[in-house]
Amino acid sequence: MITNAPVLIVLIPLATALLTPLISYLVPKLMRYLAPLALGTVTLLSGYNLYHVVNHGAWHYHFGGWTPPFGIEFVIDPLSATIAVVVGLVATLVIIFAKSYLPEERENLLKFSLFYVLFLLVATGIFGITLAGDIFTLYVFIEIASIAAYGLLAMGGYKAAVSSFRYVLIGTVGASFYLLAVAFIYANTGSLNMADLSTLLPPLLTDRTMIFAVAILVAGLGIKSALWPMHTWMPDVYTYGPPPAVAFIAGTMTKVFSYVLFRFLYFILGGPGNPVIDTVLFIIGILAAIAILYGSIMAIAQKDFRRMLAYSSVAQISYLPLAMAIGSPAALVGLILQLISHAMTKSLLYMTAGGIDWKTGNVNVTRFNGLYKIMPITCGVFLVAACSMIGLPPTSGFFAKWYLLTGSLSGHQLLFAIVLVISSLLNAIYFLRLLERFFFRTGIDDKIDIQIVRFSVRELPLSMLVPMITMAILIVIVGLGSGYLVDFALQYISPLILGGGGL
Amino acid sequence: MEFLIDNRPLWAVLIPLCLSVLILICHHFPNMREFWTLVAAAFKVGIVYSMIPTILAGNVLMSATLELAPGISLCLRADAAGMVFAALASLLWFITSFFSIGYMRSLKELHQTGYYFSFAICLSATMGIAFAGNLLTFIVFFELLTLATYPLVAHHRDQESLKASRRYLVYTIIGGQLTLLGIAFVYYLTGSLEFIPGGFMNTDTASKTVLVIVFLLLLAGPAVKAGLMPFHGWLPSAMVAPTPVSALLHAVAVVKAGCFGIIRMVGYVFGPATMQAIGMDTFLVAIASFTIITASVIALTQNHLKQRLAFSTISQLSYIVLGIGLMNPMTMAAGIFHLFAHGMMKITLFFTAGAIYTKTHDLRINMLSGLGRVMPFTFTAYTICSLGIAGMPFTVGFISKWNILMGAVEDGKLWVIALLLVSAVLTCAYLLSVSYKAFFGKVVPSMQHIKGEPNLLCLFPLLTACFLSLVFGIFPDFAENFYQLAQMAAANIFNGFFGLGG
Repeated sequence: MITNAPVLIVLIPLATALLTPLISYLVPKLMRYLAPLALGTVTLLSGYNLYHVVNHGAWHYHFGGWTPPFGIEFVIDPLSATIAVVVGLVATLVIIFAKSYLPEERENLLKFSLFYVLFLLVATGIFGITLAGDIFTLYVFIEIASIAAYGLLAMGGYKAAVSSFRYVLIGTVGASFYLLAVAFIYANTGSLNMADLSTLLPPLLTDRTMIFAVAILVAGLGIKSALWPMHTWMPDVYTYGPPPAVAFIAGTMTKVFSYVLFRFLYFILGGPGNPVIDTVLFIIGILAAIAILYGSIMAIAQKDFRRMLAYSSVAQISYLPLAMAIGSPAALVGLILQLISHAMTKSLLYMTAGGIDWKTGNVNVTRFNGLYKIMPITCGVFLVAACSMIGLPPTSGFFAKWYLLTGSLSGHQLLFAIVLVISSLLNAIYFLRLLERFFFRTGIDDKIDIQIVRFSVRELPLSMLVPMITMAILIVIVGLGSGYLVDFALQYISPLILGGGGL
Repeated sequence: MEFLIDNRPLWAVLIPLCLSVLILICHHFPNMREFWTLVAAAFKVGIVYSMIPTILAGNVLMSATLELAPGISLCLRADAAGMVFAALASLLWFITSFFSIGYMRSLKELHQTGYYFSFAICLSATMGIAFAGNLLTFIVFFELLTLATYPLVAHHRDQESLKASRRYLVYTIIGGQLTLLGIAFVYYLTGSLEFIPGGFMNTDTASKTVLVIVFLLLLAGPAVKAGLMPFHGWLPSAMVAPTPVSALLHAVAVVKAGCFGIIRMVGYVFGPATMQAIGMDTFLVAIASFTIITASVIALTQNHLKQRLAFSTISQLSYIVLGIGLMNPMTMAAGIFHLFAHGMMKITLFFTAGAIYTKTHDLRINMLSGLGRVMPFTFTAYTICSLGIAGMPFTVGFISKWNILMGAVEDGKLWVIALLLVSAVLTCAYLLSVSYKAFFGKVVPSMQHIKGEPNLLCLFPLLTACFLSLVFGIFPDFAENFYQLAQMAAANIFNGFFGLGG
C-alpha cells in the first residue's frame, strides 16, 4: 500500500467524498469523523512521501505502469511533497474546525454532508495539482478543485451564491485559458509531460504561437491565483463564503495556483534568461507590486473583518509572483516560505473570523471592542497570526519576508524591497488597529458591547480551539525552524535554487 | 580571551519568558502572580551577575544556537558591552518589581495581570537584545520589545493612552522596518551578520554613499528608541503609562535598548575606522549635541514632572550617543558607562515621581510646592539624583561626563567643554527648580491633606536606587565592576577583538 502512497493521497479524499453521502444517510454520527480521518491519513501519507523523497530523491509514480510520455505520472519532489504536507495539515485542521461550525440539526444532514463532499473534492483537486506530472492531468485537477470550490463557497447563503456565481464565470475563463494554452503546447510539441516539455518547450519560445500560449497560460493562472487586476472575484467570495470553507480555500488554493505558475515559469519554460520569460516575469512583478500596495490599502478601508482579510490576501498572495519576478535564489526560498507561512496564517485568520462570527454573530470590526474578555484564546492566536502577516519575529512571516528582502537586494531589485517594507507597515496598520480593539478598547467603565449568540460553551468548542492553537504553534515553529526547513527540505528543490549561490 | 559554551545567556532570556506564562495563569491570585514576577526577576539577576566574573576575565559566553537561516543562527553571546546593559536591566527590573507592586496596589490599577505579563516579556526581550550575537537575533528581540511595550503604554485604556500607544507603534515599527531593510543590505553586501568588535563593514565593501545609506537605515530603529531628535516624539507622549513603566521602560529598557543598538551598530558592525571614513561620526555628534541642548530647553518649559523627566531622558540619552560619536576609547567607555549611570539615576527620579503620584494624584510641578517638607526622604532622593544627572562629583553621573570631557579634550575638541557646561546648567535649572519649590515653597491648599511619606514598597526601592547611584559614584568598580566592563567593551571596539584591551 505504501508504495502507492502518491496516488492514495488523491484517491483517499476522492473515495471518502463519494462515500460521505451514503454514510451520512446510514450512520450520521460517523460522518463528522470520516472526513477529518481521511484528511489526517492523507497528511501522514504526504509526510511519508516527503520523508521518502528527501532520502531517495524524486519519486515518479506511473499510473497503471504506463511510462511517460504516454502514461500519466505523478512527480513527487521535495518541493511538491512539502506543499502537499502543508495543504494536508491546513485541510485537516480546518475540517476539524468545521465540525462545530456546521448546524447540529438532523434535517440539515444533506446540506452538511454536501459540505464535506465538496471540501474533500477541493482537497482532492489541490493535492492533484501539487503532484501532477503532466499538464493535462493538472488541468483535470484544476477543474475538480475549482468546480468543487464554486459549490463549497456558494454554501454561505444568498450573497455567497451570487458572489460564487461571479467566481464561476471568471474562474471558468481562467481555466479555459489554461486549457487553450495546453492545447497550443500539445499541438506544437506533441507532449504533455512536464519533464518532457521542459526540454521541448524552451527552444520553441521564439515561435509566435508559443508566445501566445505562454501569455494565455499566465493570464489563466493569474486569474486563478487572483493576481491584480484579475483578483476581482476574490473579495466577495471570501467575504460571504462559509468561514471554514474560506479558511481552507484562501489558505491553500490561490497559493497552489501561484505554485503552478512558478513551476511553469521556472521548471517547464526554463526560467529567467529567455526574453519571453523575462518579459512575463517583469510584467507579473509590476502587477504584484501594485497588488501588494493596492490590497493593503483596500484592506485598511474595510469594516467587514472577512473582507479585510480578503484584501489582505490580494496583497499577500502577490508576494509569490513578486518573488518569481525577483528570481534570485534567496527570493525563491522566500517564495516557498511565504507560500507555507501564508497558507497557515491566512487559514488561521479565517478560522478566527469564523470563530468570532460563531460566538458573536458579528463580523464588523468596529464592534470588536474588548473582545479579549470574551474570547481570550481566539484573540491570542489572532495576535500570532497578525504578527506573521506583518512580518514580526519570531513567526514564519518574518522569515519569509527576510528571504524576500535579502533576495530582492541580491537580485538588484531595490524597488521591490521598498514595496515589501511599505507593505509590512500597511499590514501593521490594519492588524494592529484590530488588536487595539480586541485588547485595549474596553471603554471607560469597562463595559463591553459585544453580543453573544452562542452560550453553550465558555469561549469556543474544543474542536474549534484546538486547530486554531495548533496552527498558531505551527506558525511559530515554522518560523524558528525555517533555517532547518531551508537547509533540509528546500535544498533538494532544484539545482536552480541550490546552484545560484549567495543564499 | 576565550569563547566559552555556556547556556546562561539563553536562560536569562528564557526564564522570564517561561515564568510570564505562570503570571498569566495566576490571573486570579494577585499574590501568586507577583510572587512569580519576583521569582523571575531574582533568577535573572542571579544568572546575569553570575556571568560577570567570567566576562571580566576576558571571556565571551556563547549559548547553544538555533539556526534561523543558513549561516545565520539565533545566537546569544554575552560580551562586555552586552553585560553592562544586561546587568543594568536585570538589577533595575528586580528593584522595579517591588516598586510596581507598591505602586499598582496603592493606586488599585486595573489590568494588572497583563501589566506584569508584558513586563516580563519586555525584560526577556531586553536580555535578548543585550546578548544578541548577530544582527538578525538583535532585530528579532528588538521587534519583540516593541510589541511587548505596546500594551504597557496603552495600560490605562483611555483615549489618551491609546493615542500615545499608537504613536509609539508608528515610530518604532517604521524604525524597526527600516533597520530590517538595513540588515538585509548588510547581509547582501557582506554575507555576514555577526557582531565583531571593531566592525566588519569597511570601505572596500561598498561605495561611501551606499555605506552612509546602510548606516542610516540601520540607525533608524535604534535612533527612534533612543529618542534622538527629531525621532523623539513618542517618548513624552508615552509618559501616560503608569510610572513604573515609564521608569523601567522609558528610562531604562526601551531607550537604552536604542542606545545599546547604536553601540552595536557603530562599534560592532561599522567600527570606528569605517565610521570616520564615511563621516558618520560627525553626524552622530552633531545630532547628539543638538538633542542635548534642545531637549534641555524644552524640559524647562514643561510643567508636568513626568514630561520634564521625559525630556531630561531624551537629553541625557544623547550623552551616550555623543560618547560613541566622539570616537575615542575614553568617550566610548564613558558612553557605555552612561547607559548604566543614567539608568540608575533616572529610575530613582521616576520612582520619586511615581511615589509622589501615589500620594497626590497630581504631578504638575506648581502643585508639588512645599511637599518636600512633607516627604523629606522622597525629595532628598530626588535632589541627589538630579545633581547626579547634572554631573555632580561623587554621584555616578559625574564619572561618565568626566570621561567624555577628558576624551574630548584629549582629541582637542574643546567645544565639548562648553556643551557640557551649558547642558549641566540647564539640567540643574529644570530639575533642581522642582526641589527648590518643594522644599521652600508654600503648600498648595488642595495638597494640605497630604501627610507623610509614600508607602514602604514605593519608598524602599527608591532609596535603594538612590543609595546605589551614590555608591557607584564614589566606587565605580564597586561589586559589579561596571566601569571596568565599559572600559573593556570600549577597548574591544578599538582593538578589534574580544577580551581585555591593551
